Amino acid sequence: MTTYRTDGMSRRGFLAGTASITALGMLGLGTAACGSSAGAGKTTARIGWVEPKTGRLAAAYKPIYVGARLALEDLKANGGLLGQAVQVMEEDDKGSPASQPAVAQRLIREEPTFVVGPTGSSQVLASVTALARAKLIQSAWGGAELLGDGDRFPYHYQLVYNTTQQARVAARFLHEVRGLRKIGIIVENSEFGTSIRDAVIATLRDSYSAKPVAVEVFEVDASDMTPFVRNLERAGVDGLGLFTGQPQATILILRAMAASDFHPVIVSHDLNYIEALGEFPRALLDGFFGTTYRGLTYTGEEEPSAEVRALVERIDKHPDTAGLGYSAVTSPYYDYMMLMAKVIEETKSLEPAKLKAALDQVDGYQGVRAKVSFTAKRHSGIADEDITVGTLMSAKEPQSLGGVLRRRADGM
Amino acid sequence: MIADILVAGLVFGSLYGLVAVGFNVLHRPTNVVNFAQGELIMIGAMLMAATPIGGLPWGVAAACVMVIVAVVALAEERVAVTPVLRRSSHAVGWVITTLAFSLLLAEAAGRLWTDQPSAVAPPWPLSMRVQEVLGVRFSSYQVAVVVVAVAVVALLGVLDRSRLGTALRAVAADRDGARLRGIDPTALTRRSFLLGGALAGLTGVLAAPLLLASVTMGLGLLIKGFAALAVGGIGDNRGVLVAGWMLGVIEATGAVFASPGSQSVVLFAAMLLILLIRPNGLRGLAVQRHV
Repeated sequence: MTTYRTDGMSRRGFLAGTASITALGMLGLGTAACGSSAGAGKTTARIGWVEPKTGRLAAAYKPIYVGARLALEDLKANGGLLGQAVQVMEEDDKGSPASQPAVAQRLIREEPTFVVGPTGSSQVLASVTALARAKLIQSAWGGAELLGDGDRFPYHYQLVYNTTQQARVAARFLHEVRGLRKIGIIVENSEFGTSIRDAVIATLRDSYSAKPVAVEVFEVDASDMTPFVRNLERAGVDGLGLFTGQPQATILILRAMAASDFHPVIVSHDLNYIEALGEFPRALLDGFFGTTYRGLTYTGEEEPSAEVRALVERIDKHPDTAGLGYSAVTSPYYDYMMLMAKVIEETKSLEPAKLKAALDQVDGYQGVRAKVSFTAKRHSGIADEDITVGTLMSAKEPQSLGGVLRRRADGM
Repeated sequence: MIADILVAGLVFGSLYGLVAVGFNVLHRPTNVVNFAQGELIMIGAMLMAATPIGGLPWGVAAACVMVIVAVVALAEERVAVTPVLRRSSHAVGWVITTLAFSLLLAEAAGRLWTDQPSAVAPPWPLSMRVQEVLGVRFSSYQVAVVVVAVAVVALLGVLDRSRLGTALRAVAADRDGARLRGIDPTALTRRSFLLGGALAGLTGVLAAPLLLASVTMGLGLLIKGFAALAVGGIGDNRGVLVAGWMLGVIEATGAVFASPGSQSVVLFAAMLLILLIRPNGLRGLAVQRHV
């Protein structure tokens, strides 16, 4: 059984902490700590931090952790947690599911108060499974519905909308809001792709007694999307759910559509505007929408809150954002860290059991992106009404604050 | 529909064929299959998309990319291949060392670039704009890719018949025996890696407008290129190009007719079937050793 100290550190903990900090310092990995270290022998909140530092995804995932780094700055400005310094223990998971068991072992040894990350559905599933037995409080960026199941993963809290919620919003937008009846689905052949495909099909069936006219599944390394797009075109698709974690695949699908002047209304889950989109006709891009958080959208009458605008400004200025402000602001980690800070201050404890009990009763915590609520059984914290659909091309509007926020689609 | 399948098969099959030809160029003097070939191609495509190289006239940029990737391949030969072959020409440690070099390249790319794909425009006057001729839809750039792939194989055929080609065949047949006849296998290995690297750079340059330049593009091309190599026959450049086309057509056919998500199954089942029927490659050029 893992115990959590609130009154000091063991010699082993001290040595491990010192060695970790020395190693990280020598490697220049940028241990983000504020105030005194674990070696000070005081009651300190220790944050386990799982992020790809090496590997193919290292640069790509940096923007996703910008919110967490800003939250650390805020905690430091507020005097840490329980009046003590916060220590961060960064672990490199290489962006790989295979690395998660080893990372989990290190985290279990380090005994953090709570864990931030990892990111990516497959990585998260591997991580929460490995960490569940250690009873470490964790929030990772994974959209699978089961990650919000409090019975299955009692110490994992999901602060992102799950694939089922996403599918419901996408289907409602296409069928109800836009009145489209020939809905098609194109997804990648992965756990994420198949789960969201099934969820969209189930929503169409259960809520609208409808079914998709075409379902296409492509391999993640498919070179050519033309055959899949031609199948959708032949089926007469006028509304399309496009779900892939590969930005390259999205571009290749749009290219195949542009080549045949096939311009259905598209709902995706990624609203990042990247330069490669510049080659496509405006008519195609104007019909491109994506699920997002209501709090990160604006309309003619409604503006994002002052807190959102302030956070966006800070995200824009952060060097790790690298032009991917949308990824940075939709990341769950800022809200998660600020929620943990609130819970720790309210319970005046770093003990996981007490923190879990408090988290299970969080009701309507106002995060920057959305309200968050949990119960002991339901750890999927985002309410359906906080999920909406935004337009891709609003990334070019001044109200998007540098391409970070999005205009809410009409009717949503 | 059939025309769409054929066009896609020929175009992307040409890329798979070029990857396989790159394998052949390096394999001949070394008996090494370079598992870093996919990442070399990725580096070529990413460099083509990157400024300042991407801002140069297309021909100059392509030449710069080929030179840079050739130098990277030479570095691979120095650190990951020659030390292994020096110990024993029959050692298979290169499997690990070339994979390790591949990981190093992926690591470097991961630090330099995000996973956001970059569009690369084809060179003037070519275009990605699709035209329809007699019901067949294709772009001028797609035609150019097929032509370049055929030209590369033809040029390598000429090289094969030269004195250098004869020396390469001698080294391939017996590295130690060739050395006794005054051929320097190390120098030939170095030249082959330079050529193979330049070819990988060219493949990356050609692939970038079609697939977009992305740090994740290498592995997929490596696998399909390797499949083309297995089906076409190691050492047979014409065979691997034809195999690349076949795999491209099978892949496109699977996308149209196979049930969703089973395209890879169709592709590899077809590959298995071909290998069962033609175990020495499509053209059956079995390597014979007289002892």
